[in-house]
This record gives sequence, structure tokens and C-alpha cells, in this order.
Amino acid sequence: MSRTLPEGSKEASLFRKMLRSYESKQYKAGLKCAKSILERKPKHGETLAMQALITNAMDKHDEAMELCHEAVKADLGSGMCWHVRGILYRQKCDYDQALRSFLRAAQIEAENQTILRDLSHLQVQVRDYEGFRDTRRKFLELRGGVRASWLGYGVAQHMTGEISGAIETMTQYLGLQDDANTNAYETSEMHMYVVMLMMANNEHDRALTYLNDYEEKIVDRRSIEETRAQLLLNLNRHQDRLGQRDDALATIRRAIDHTPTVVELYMVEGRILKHLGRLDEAATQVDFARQLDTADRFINSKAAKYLLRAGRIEEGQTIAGLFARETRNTDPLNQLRDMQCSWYELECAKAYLAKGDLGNALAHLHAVKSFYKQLVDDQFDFHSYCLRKVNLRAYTRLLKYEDEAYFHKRYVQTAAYACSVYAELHNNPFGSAKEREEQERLAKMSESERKKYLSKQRKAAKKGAGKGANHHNARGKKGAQQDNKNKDKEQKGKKSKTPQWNPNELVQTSKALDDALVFLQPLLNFPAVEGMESLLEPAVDVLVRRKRPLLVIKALRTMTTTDVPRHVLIASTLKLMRFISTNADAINPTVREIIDEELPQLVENKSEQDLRKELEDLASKSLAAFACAQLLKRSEGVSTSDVIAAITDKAASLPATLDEAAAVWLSVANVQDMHAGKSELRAALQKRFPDAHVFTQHQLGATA
Amino acid sequence: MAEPKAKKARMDLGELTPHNVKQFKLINKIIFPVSYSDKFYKDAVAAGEYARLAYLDDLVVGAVCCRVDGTKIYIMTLGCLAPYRRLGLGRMMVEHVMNLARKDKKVTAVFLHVDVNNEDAVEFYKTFGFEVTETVKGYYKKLSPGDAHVLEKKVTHESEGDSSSNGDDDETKAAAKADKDKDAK
Repeated sequence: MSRTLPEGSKEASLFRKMLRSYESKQYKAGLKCAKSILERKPKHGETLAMQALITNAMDKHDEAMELCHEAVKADLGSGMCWHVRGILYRQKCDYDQALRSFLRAAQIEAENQTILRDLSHLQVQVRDYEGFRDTRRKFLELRGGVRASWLGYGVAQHMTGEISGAIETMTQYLGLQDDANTNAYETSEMHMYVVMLMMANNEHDRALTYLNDYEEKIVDRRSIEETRAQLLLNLNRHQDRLGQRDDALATIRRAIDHTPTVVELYMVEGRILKHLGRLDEAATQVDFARQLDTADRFINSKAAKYLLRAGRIEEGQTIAGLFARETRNTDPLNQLRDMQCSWYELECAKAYLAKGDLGNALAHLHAVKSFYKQLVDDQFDFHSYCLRKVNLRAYTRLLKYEDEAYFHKRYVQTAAYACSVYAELHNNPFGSAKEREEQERLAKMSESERKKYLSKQRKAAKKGAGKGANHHNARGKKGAQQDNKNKDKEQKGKKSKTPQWNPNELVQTSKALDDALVFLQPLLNFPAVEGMESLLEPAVDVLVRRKRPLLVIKALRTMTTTDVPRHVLIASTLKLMRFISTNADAINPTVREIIDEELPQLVENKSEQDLRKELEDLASKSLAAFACAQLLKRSEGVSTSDVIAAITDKAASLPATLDEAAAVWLSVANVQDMHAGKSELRAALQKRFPDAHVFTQHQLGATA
Repeated sequence: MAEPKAKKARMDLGELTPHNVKQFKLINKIIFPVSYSDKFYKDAVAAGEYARLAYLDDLVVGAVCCRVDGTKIYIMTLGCLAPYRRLGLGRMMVEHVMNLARKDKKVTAVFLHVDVNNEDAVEFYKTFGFEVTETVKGYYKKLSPGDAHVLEKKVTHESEGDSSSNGDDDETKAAAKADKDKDAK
């Protein structure tokens, strides 16, 4: 029992008696034994340690601690002395000293299970997980036949993050254990723990298989079903993230089959479908989710957004209005505008853009802009109020906030769409395609063909005039309907004082660049805020046309620090270079100096030629870059129909993600000076992404 | 990261409203071979305590709908999604109906129709003391053969004496035991 007392000696038997007395809480008898041993062997360390332990049990803690110090001093090589020291410090909650003592004790007596157990408990208490794991490993090596050894090691591995190891330990043990002798609940709990570990390790697939394999061993049916539903959701998110979208779709549909009343599952399904470009199905599923719980505003908004993205504009607007209608008695869409619902206006604008209805898109973009302007204008109320009421901290916070009101992602996006629409409208007024197409058609004809054609046209025009058609109404019935609708809206607008914009007036603007600048004004410093990367390219288009080279430089500088594709930077730089060379005489010398200083830095001192070469290179590797390079040529004299044909030619072969292809499509589809050839491009892209729904929404020339 | 919940899931009954009636439709569509009319659902929303959704935590996994038919209560639908059976949700719904019956002095019995081939369902109701009182040929027009048992349980009201309520208690215990036996299988 005590390694320093010879076996068979009187002292050894007294020591044994002392241990027994301690264990049976006969402390006085124990102390008596200690005294007898110490009389014969003064300063016997382990006896002193036991004396300390017994004294401690009699609540004389200070005395016990003194005895313990004496004991350790007398026998530094005794594991028992150090163990007792650890116990006393642990009781004082001095875990640091206690840990040192236990570690020392365990070093000396590496196979003493009591010491190892105390050590491991202290380690987990102070969250020394690595130490805890090492100790539990030793413990397992010593006592592999005991369940707690396996579980302890498994938990320790879990805590240090070695989850695969923990799974291995647990499954190894579960493979060894004899089910017949085990409590069914405990076995069940262990299996569920394995499932949880697999989930923590992102092995959702494996966890699901495991759950199915061991289903009959798991007694808690409820937690099986709940876990399974969770698991399916997790596995699904994981697959969606990894881009295994078809797997993700299959998994979510399993989850829906399992519990079809969970609204969130349809939302997830909708999201996956959206990622697959299947916008129409996505909207249908999210709208189904909405119907399952029509009291949920969040889902309602989501459904509206999905419907708008799918081009189901009327449905989307109706759904969006559902929650507004309950508040007051007027037109719900006016309500939404009065509530300054900017996400809704932006989604509407995007939906109209995707359709090619630039007028309605602009109307909604102006609405968003007005919300932000209102927000900033409202500051005036506070300037005098806050100073009078001394709300200085809130006031200064407000000023700071207002400074950046326009830096919000949603406004930046709004400005980006507005700039791209207005930049296009500046060179190519809305509806100009018909005239251009006509010119091209005529150019291709022979002299006699042309004569024949023109006389036919004249006859047709006469007939048309007889029916009261004029140039304005050449846009057809649809345009006229639109006008009526807008008149209605205007009248309603007067009643409710809700701001309205006339889509036809907006789209027929004669000062497109000024209109664009109004959107751009608050962002002319081009801060590198979220969404800025989408604004820079259209902003450059506006600013080059508006002859503001210094602002273009600013935009280009932000391009180099944000996530803008290289081909966009190059194309934008080339636009500026072209502007400089064609306007060389008109540029102020000071401005010229700044440009000459700044521009080379933005493109690593590359020449225009180098940049063209690089763009060509990029264009041979990606459809997005190719389209960008081609569209650039429009400003350099190449006809739009040739540009569209070139892009169509490469639409099937050049690498592109669905998102990139969709962006290419939108930039080509909304070109205003030429519609011919667009449907061929659409067909090529649709063939490449057969499930995608993004290419079908555009009406091409139909609204023009 | 989501971990399996350690706590037991909560079972509860919730109101049927115009906002969630679609969930009720969905459940019925999955559980029952017959489809119900729009009027059925319109009435259900207005039926108050006679229509309830069964929740496991915040999931809708079952539903019950009944109506007063003369001096009896008739259970039109009562069911639970397959993965969530034998957790006690069906029992919760049957007890809800029995409580409604006991509260209404003029109600003498609760009854319902069950497809004769649906042995599990017949067995389920028998554990609560329902008995087959009649078998109707061709009751379900869209099923073949479509015969249905009528299962009925008499309702005893507390004011009729102590002995009867004791009887009820015994039945409830017996049902609980039967439920437990099922779970153990």
C-alpha cells in the first residue's frame, strides 16, 4: 500500500488499517494509526499525506494543507502525496495547483486509475481538452473492458475536434458490445450520439445511412424522425453549397415526402430550383409554401420575390400586396410604395428589365431612388430639434448614418440598373431598332427590290393612316393599353398622393445621361461598398458619354480594388482611352495631366494595344469576356447585328456558368438599336441550359 | 450546426384557421384515399374545437375533424402522417373528441366509418373502446370493394354517477397499455 514501508512490517499493517479507517470514515482511528507510524518513522511522507486527507475530511482544511505540504516535501517521489495535494487544492477550487499535482502524480504512477480519473475530470473541468483526451486514452489502454473508458475517450476526441476519431472509437465499441447485456436505452443513446457526430462532421449522407441501418436499435422514435428530417435538410444545404444541385433536389424531395407540412422545406426546394435557373418551378414551390401559412409575412415576401424573378409580374405584385391591403383601404401597390418598400420596387424593376420593358423598369427604379432621397431629406427635421433637445450622441450617429444612406446595397444596385438603361437609351433611343433594321434591310436589297419594297410600304402606311394609326401608336395595341393603364394609375396616384412615374415618358427621355447622373450623384466617390462592382461598368458608360474623364478614373480605381472581372476593367479602360484620343483637343491640360499620371497605374502601364491583346485572350476563354469584348465594338463602329451574331456563334462553345450566360443574355437582349438575331441567341443559350427559365422572359421587340 | 434535440418533442393540438387550412388539406390528401370538397374545408375552418391540427413541436403532423350528428359526434377525419404514428398523437386526438363528447350533455356516442381493409385503424379505435356496430356495403364509392365498418363508442357523462367515470378511467388505462404494447413492437 505504501511503497516506502516494507511488506510484512508492523508499519505496513498499520498503514493498511489507516486506509480502511479512512474509507469507513472512522477518522479518529485513522489518525491514531498515523500517529503510531509517525512515532516509528517520523516524516514518513505517505503517512503524512493520509493524515492530511483524514484531517481534511474532519473539516480542518488549513491544518490538512500544512500536513500535505510536509508530506510532499518529505517524499517528492510519491504519487500518493501529489495525489492528495491535488485533492486538497481541487477542494479549494485552485484548479491550477490541483492540475499540476495530479499531473505529477500521474507521471509517477502512470497506471493508477484513480489518479487518472481525477486528472481527467479536472482536465475537462478546466477545458484542457487535449490533456483530457490524452488521459482518457491512457485510461482506455488500461481498462479497455469498461464501457466508460470507450465513451470517455470518444467524448474527449469529439471535444478536441477529432470527430472522425470519435466516430471510430464509438463504432468500434458498439461493434464489441454485447447487446443482450446492455440496456436498450443506453445502446440507443450511443447510436444517436454516433449520428450526431457524423452530422457534426458534415457527413450527412453517412449519418442518414447509419440512422437507417440502426433504426431498430434506437428506441426513441421521436428523435429518429426529428433527426432524420433535420438531417435531410442539412444534407441538402450541404449539397446545394457544393453545387450538387440535382442531389440536393432529390434530398429535399425525400424530406418533403417524409413531412410534407414543413413550410421551410418548400422554401429550400425553391432556392435550389432557383440556383438551377428553374425560376418558374421555384416560384411555384415557394408560393405553395406561402399557401401553407398565409399568416407569415416573411414567406409572403419571399413568394412575391420569386414570382417577380420568374417574370410572373402580376402574380408577384398581387402577393406582395396581400399584406399591405389589410392596413388601409386603397390600392395595395400604392400602399407598398407609401410604405417605401424598396425591395419590392427593385424586384419589380428587375422583372421588367428581364422582360425588356425599360419604361416600367425605370419607373420602379425612380421609386427606389425617391425612398432614399426622402430618407436623407428627412434629416432636416432633426438639425434644430436635436440641438435644442441636446440629443447629441443620437444626432451625430444619425448624421454619420445619413452620410452613408446611399451606400446601401439596394441603392447601389438601383443606380447600376438605371445607369445601364440610360447609357443604352442615350445612344439608341427606345424603339430605334425598327428604323435601323429597316435601313439594314434596304441596304441589302438590289435597286429594283428596294423600289418594290418601298412602294409596298407606302401603300401599307396609307391603309394604316386610314385606320387612325400614327407614328406614336406604331408600337401597337400593347403600347396603347399600357398608356391607358398608366393614365389610370396617374388618376389613382392623384387621389392617394402616392408618387408615380410615367413609364413612357421616362423611356422616351431626351436627356438620358442627365437622368442617369441623378442616380449616380451620391455615389460619385465610388466607395468600395457591397454591390459597387455591378455599378462601375455602367457608371463608366454614362461618364464617358457625359465626358467626365476624371470621374471615370475614380470608377476605374475602385474597379481595381473590388471584385470586378478583369475583362470589364480592360473594356472600361479602353473606352476611356478611346474617349481621350478622339477628344484630345477638348480636354483641359490640367485634367490631361492627371489622366496621364493616373491611368497607366490602373493597368500596370500597359498600352492600348497590350490591353486589346489581353482582352482578346480573355475572350477566347469565356463567354462573358467574349460578349464584353464584342459589345465594346458597338462603340467602335461595328454594327449591333454583327455583334449579336458573333456572340450567338460562340454561345454554345465558350465556357460560361448559368449566371454568366444569363448576364450576357440580359445585356444583349436590352440593346435597343437592333432586335434581329436576338431570338437566335436565345435559342442557343436555351439549348445550352435547357432547364433554365431566365432566357424565356424577354419579349424582345414586342414591347418596343 | 444543428444537433439532435435532447429534449422530448412536445405534442399539442392547435386551431384550424384560414391561414393554415392548406396544411390540413395536404395532410388529408396524403393520408386518405378520398378527397374532400372545398365546402368540407370551409366548414372545418368554422368548426372551432371540432377541427384541430396535431403538432409535434412546431410541425403539423396530423389533424382531426368531426361534427355533431343528431345526438352523436361523427368523426369525419382523424389521422397522422406515417412517420409520426405510434407516438401518441392519434390518442391525443381521440381523447380530444371524447372530451368534447363528454362536455355536451346531449351527446350519447362517438362514431365513425373505417374501411374494412384498414385493420390497423380498426384495431386502433378498439383500444379506446370503440366497437363495430354495423358494416355498410359500398360506403366508399371510389374504393373497391369500399365496404366500411361503423365503429362506435358510447359516451357516459360524469353526472350520471361515480361508477361510470371510474369505468372511463379503466378504459383509458387499458388504451394506454395497448398503446404501449404497440410501441414496444
